[in-house]
Amino acid sequence: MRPRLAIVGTVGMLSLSSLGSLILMSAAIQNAGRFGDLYSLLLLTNLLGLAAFSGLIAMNVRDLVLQLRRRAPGARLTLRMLSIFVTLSVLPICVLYGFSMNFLMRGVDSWFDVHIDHALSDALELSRSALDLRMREVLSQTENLAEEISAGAPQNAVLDLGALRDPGNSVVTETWDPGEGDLNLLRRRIGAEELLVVTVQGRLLQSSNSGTDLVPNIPPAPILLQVKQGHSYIGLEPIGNAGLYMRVAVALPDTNVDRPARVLQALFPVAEGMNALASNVESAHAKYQELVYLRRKLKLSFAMTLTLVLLSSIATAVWAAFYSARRLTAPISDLAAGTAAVAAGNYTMTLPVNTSDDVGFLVSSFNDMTRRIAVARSEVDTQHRYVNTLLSQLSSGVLALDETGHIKTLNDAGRRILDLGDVVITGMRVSELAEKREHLAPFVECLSAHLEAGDERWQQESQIFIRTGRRALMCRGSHLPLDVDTEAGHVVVFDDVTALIQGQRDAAWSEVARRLAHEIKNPLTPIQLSAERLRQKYLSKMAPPDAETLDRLTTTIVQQVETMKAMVNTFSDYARMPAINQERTDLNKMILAVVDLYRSANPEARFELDFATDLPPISVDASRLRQVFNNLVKNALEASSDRTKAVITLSTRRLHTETGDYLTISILDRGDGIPPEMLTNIFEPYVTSKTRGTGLGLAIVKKIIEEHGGVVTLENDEGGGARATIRLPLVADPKAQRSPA
Amino acid sequence: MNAVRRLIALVFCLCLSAGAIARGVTITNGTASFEDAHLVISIQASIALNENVEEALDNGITLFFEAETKILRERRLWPDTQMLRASHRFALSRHALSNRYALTDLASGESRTFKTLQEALLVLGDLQRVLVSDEAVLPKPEVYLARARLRLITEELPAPMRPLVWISPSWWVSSPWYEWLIKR
Repeated sequence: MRPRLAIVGTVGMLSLSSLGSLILMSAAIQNAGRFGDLYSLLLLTNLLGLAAFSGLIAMNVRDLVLQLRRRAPGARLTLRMLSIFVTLSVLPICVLYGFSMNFLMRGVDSWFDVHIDHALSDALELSRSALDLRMREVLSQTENLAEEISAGAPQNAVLDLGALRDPGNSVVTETWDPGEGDLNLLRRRIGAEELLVVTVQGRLLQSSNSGTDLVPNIPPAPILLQVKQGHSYIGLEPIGNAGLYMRVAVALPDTNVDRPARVLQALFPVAEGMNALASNVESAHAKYQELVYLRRKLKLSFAMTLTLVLLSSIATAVWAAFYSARRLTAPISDLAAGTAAVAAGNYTMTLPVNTSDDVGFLVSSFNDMTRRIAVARSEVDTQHRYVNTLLSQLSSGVLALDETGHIKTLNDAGRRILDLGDVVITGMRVSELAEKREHLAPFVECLSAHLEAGDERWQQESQIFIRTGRRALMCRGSHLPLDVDTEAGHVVVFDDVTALIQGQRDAAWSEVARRLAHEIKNPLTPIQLSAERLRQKYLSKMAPPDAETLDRLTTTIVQQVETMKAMVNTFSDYARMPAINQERTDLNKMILAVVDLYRSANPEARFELDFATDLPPISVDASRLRQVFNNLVKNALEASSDRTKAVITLSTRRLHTETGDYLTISILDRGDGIPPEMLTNIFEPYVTSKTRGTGLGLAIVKKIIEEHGGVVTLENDEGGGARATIRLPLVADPKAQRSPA
Repeated sequence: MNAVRRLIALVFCLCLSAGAIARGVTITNGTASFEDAHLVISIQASIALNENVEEALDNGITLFFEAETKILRERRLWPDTQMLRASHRFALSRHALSNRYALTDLASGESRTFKTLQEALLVLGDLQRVLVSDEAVLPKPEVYLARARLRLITEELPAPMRPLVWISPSWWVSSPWYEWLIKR
């Protein structure tokens, strides 16, 4: 609200100042005396105000265009309302402007009338004519006076006023130089206010003045020049504030050629009444002429002022239209934006309720609606999170499908069991799952068969092949019936029973081995003793050919019995492993010792060692673990087709995971690898790709590693060959953690 | 609306002629003398009014001129210090009844009339004693910069003419600053 109030306040102030300056400018135009000095400032103020408004409008237009381009909610409604407001406000203003301008121009024109113009010119001419008559009189008087003076009056003629009054007096024969007193008399006689005698160069010789102004009004050089050229001067001049005067300058002829030429100047005041009338006429004519001259400028100024008023009004109206349109459409725009937000899933949207009218009620209702939806959504989310938490905590995989076989959800355990990695399967058809992840084809076939058959409840074991080998899955499916609150679909729960089955097999094999050892080992000793006894008793008594045969046969029996004993012992060891004897052991050193043993026996083979330097000592049964490494290195050497070119890579690493710290030991050979069909049960007894041996080597390895709480895997390497990986937990007591992640 | 069109056309034409100032005012000489412990500044200017200004004068518009004089002390890397400043204003008008031009010194009120405008402008251009000041204001020994200019005061023109004056260079009648040095 505050920014809006600030904008409205600023614009209001701008409008008021603009209006005020327009009024003042109008007053200044009509009467230059009022605010005339401020005219330029006012004009500038108005132009700046107009520029400010134009800037505001430009910003609004730009915002509106941007909103229209990005199809912002309410933008088109704003444009429509703006168009209506602008049309309703600007059109009448323009019409009013047109008529006002027309009236104004006509009004200004009506001030001027050709008759008045002529009348004033005639009055001025009449004044001039009236004055001309008088001017001719005073010219004649002055010229006569000059002739009198030039005719030559005696030096004492000043006192002979009668002679002076008689122009025809021929007694005076020489040029007369009047004194100051004489000049005063002459001035009074002709009625002049000032009488001067000056040289043509402008030097004052004599003067007579009736007033208090002691400074004689010397005729300007152009007048003196004119008189010198033989032309008398008569002119009407306004002198200071004293009004109009008639200036007469005539040559003063002189018989004395040695003296400089002289000029007689007389100033005659215009009669007071005539002066006032002439001044009035002159003033009125000047004023009217000024008005006529300013007519076009005046119209221009009026037009400019009126145009400024028009533009300011339009600018204010357009801005007000923008403001009003925005205010009116703001709640609707908010509603549109709110609806879009709700549609996009944002249920926390709350709109401001600024008005108490119908729109305000609508906004309140919208807010109530979103609040309720948000509460319901929150409850659903809570329930959903609870179910998800439950599902994520399950060790079984839970797969939910809709009626059409599209996957709706799969819990974390399910993703882990199916080895899905980061693949997004939600929304995918079950059949597409096999296309994305080929190893899931048996699982998908199992599911599809039951879904197509429409089985209500079913259970089936399936097997998939993932990176760590074959996994056995126990799948149980149920059809979800259509309910009021839930839609129809299927749910499939599956468990990885590989370890369980393996455990059962291991147990079975242990039992077999134990029984085998027990049943076979007992008769072996009597057989061996009997064979040795036969050999000892009858060998010396028999003929050489028979003796040789007996010796060979008994020796064979004893050797085979020994072999069987060794095999039975191995079975016995596998069936009944002794308790592990823990001691702190440096695994790197242990592996190096084993490698040294095989390196001396196979000098052509190449052993590449990549040991981690940060391996801490680990509590293990050293002799049992050494047996493990012996078995694995031996297997790796045997797996290489040519032992002389065998390359065995052994590496150790320390591994930190969310479930704890581990040591990993990797033994990689570059042989032919493990046949794929053997990968699944390579660690089972009697599973071997070699022609010799008991087939218990890897089974014993697995058993020892598992007794240390570790995991051993065997897989084909992408670069060729097989890689055995052992992972041992870094804990004080290996038994404390039997099954790492 | 015709008026608006005329306004736009007029502004356009005036803008086109913006660089064409036909005639103007030039100060031809400036003198400084020390008389009776006083500094006296006189300047001579050549004034030629253009047609627009003459037309306004002949139509009864009174023109006001200002002779502005300054005495500055120059400073390096720093604005000059103004020691003295004087301004003289004159009004030039036409008396329709007598067909004469009247030139009035607004300071003294003294008025003189002339038959022709040229005579009036000659007298206006001969500006004697436009600045008279006690010479003690300018300390010795120092060289001072005198600046003078004569201009038409457009602010005194009738209000309707002012928008026109703003955009019409023919009304920008002013001499450039005339400068000379005064040694003390």
